[in-house]
Amino acid sequence: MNRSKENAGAIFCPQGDLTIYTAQQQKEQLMLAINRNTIQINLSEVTDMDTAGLQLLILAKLESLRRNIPLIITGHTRAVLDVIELCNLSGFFGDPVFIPSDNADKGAIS
Amino acid sequence: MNMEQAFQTFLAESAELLQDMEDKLLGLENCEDATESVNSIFRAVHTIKGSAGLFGLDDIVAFTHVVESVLDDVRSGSFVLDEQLINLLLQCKDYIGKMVDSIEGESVLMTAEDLQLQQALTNTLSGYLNKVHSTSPATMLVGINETDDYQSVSVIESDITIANENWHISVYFGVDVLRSGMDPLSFLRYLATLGTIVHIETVTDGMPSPEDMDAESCYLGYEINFHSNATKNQIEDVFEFVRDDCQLKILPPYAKASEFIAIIESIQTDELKLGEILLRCGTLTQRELDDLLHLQTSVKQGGTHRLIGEIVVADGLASSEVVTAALHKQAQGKKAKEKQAQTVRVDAEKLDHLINLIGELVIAGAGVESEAHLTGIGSLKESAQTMTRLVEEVRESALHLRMVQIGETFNRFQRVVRDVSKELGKDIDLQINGAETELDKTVIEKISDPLMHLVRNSIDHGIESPALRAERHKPVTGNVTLNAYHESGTIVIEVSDDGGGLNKDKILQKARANGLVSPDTELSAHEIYQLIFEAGFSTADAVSNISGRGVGMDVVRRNIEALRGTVEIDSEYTVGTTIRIRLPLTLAIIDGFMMKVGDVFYVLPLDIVEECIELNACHSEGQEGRHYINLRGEVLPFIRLGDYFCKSQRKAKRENIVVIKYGNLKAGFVVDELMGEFQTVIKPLGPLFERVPGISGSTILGSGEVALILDAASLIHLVMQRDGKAMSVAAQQSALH
Repeated sequence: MNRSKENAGAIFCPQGDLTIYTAQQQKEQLMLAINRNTIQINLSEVTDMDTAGLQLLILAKLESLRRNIPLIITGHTRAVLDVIELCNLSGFFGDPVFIPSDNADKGAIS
Repeated sequence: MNMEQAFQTFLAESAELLQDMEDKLLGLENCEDATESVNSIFRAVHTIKGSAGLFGLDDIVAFTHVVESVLDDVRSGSFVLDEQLINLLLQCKDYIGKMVDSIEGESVLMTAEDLQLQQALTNTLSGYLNKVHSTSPATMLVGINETDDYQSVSVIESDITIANENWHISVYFGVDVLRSGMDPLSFLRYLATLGTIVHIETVTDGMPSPEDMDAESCYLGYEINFHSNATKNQIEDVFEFVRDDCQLKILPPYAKASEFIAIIESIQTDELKLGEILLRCGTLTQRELDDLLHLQTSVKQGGTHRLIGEIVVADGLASSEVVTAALHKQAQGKKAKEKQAQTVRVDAEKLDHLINLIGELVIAGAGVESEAHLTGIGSLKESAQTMTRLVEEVRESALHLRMVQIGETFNRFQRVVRDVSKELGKDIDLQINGAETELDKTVIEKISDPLMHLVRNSIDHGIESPALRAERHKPVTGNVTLNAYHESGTIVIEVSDDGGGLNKDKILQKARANGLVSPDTELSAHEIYQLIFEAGFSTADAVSNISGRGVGMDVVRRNIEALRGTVEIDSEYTVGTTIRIRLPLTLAIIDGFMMKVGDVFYVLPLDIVEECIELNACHSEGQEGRHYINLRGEVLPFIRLGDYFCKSQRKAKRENIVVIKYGNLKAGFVVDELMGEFQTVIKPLGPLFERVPGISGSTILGSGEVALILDAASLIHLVMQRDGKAMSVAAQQSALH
């Protein structure tokens, strides 16, 4: 886990699969990443994501809304984008995402 | 397909649909699945309306529209189909049939009288429509006037129809779905292969606070606007593995507003928000959403939970309703195609031509086989036999093409019984047995009228008035039974009733008065009953407009005899009557049994041949002049075919006796030689010999010779007549053993 303990805000940076198999531990990591000012998530190391993983992101987003702090998700990988697009949640997360050149469709809105 | 052909199809289809509608209406009273029946009645009217619109028959469209509207209200459960309404709908069905029959070019020409009837029917129907709308104020609130704009096929709904041509799927996964190893995302991906996900909304309201959230539980739900030609079942199957573990609702295109309300209510979330989700999905328009909420509130405020209850009920029934609605838009074309694949309409003439050709083929095949036998070449004989077998199979299946179940004909009498019994103030049930019995289509067509007469007779003369029935300690409801079954190569159709039965003495008295029977003749009960088939014979004291003129039974008998059939009566005074019609299975080709007397070939239908025995000396010993033998203790009357037909005096060395059974009568025919089984194509004898008793037709043998086909029924009767009453009684008794 690449989690730093700086005050500026810890980054939740899951690696490998963000799926049901690791969801429990990753939720704990995510909780640690939530602090007073921001929630930061770096998804660049995520190779696969399922509903359990998606739920963690949704949880983070809902929590950020509740606390009225920004949620910053960076480094969306293909796997993550696919899921977010499938569920039409790009607008919900509202992050600027990098759109790979091979995919010119709707999907990402900033 | 040009317009003329399409029009012919429309006519044929309308007739079928109307018949189906009538059957369903009559079946409603004792039907298990009333919903399905109502649906199919609705579909019938709807289809006729649609097709009539296609041909610009506005009058039919206008009338069917009203009928359809009433039916739609029935379908949505606004009121039940009671007897009164069924009667009304039957009248409407008749009237639609009349309109279809009166199509002249692009308009329907109805007489002034008919138009009056139409007006009356329309008025009564609108009475129903108004009643509905006044009893459900909540529906009135949302306004019916807006719905018609949405669909080209306009239906007056008591409920708002949502103008969305896509499916709406609402799925909320159970908490444990993820733990059971299933990923909702994969279902969505699979769903996307069945059609297009127009819009999807992920509902995250179920998500608890971070502390309570279990990362291995599922909290998500989806509202999906889905465009697809798949059926509801196919869509349901997508979620098959999580079926028990999720809340799944699938609304068809053009679903009812009430169904949306049901979703909104069943889902534990902010109602307004869900409404907005549906709005975002594009499933609902803003106006529809407003109407919906308005409808919902008005129902709640009204304090009546009736409609909510109804909604829940409707929800439970959703699957059948969904099917119906889906049928309307999408599956309709598909269904028509499927139906086409199942049956092919063939011109009856083409079929007759085929049967004729096969008849010729049978003859030619017989020729080849006999020639092959003469050559004595083994392989040729074998080939000829194989061919004969195949020809036999072809013949069998060709004849099956013409076979129709008699059930449809029987069902037509439901209406007759219903109408006539009502007219006469009697309470009568019609029971149908053996509806699946098959017989030749031509025979069915020709038997329909005589049957109708017999059924009417049973209702009018047979079944007593309720008062008299009570006096005789019978159930007030009379019973008329139609029965059909196969028996030794013939089909038997029975019309029975548990009515008054025939009064033997009265018939005899009348017959003597009419001079049909000389005063000193003694007749058996059976013979007395047969008297009622005589021309001009009627025992009815009063002539009603249904029967009693003494014409009918004579015509019935002649019609049946024209089909080479017979008719007989069993009756017991005050207990009931059974009229039994016996008909040959088919008119064209039979399995025959060939015999030879002198140089002449004779053929009997194989099915009536019981056995063949040698007529040896001990049989005829001491019985000169008498024509019966002792067959294992039974008296068997016989006839010498040689004597009867050609009077050939030359006695063969050995004689055989062919025992035949017809109905409950048995007799023997004495012939010189037995030739065995033979496929026989019946050729009519032509007008000159048509009336020759004992012969029903001819056939051509492989060798080119002609064989006569014996008419077993008339020959047996000849035997009986000759031997007098004593003999026939003996024969009947022996047949009973």
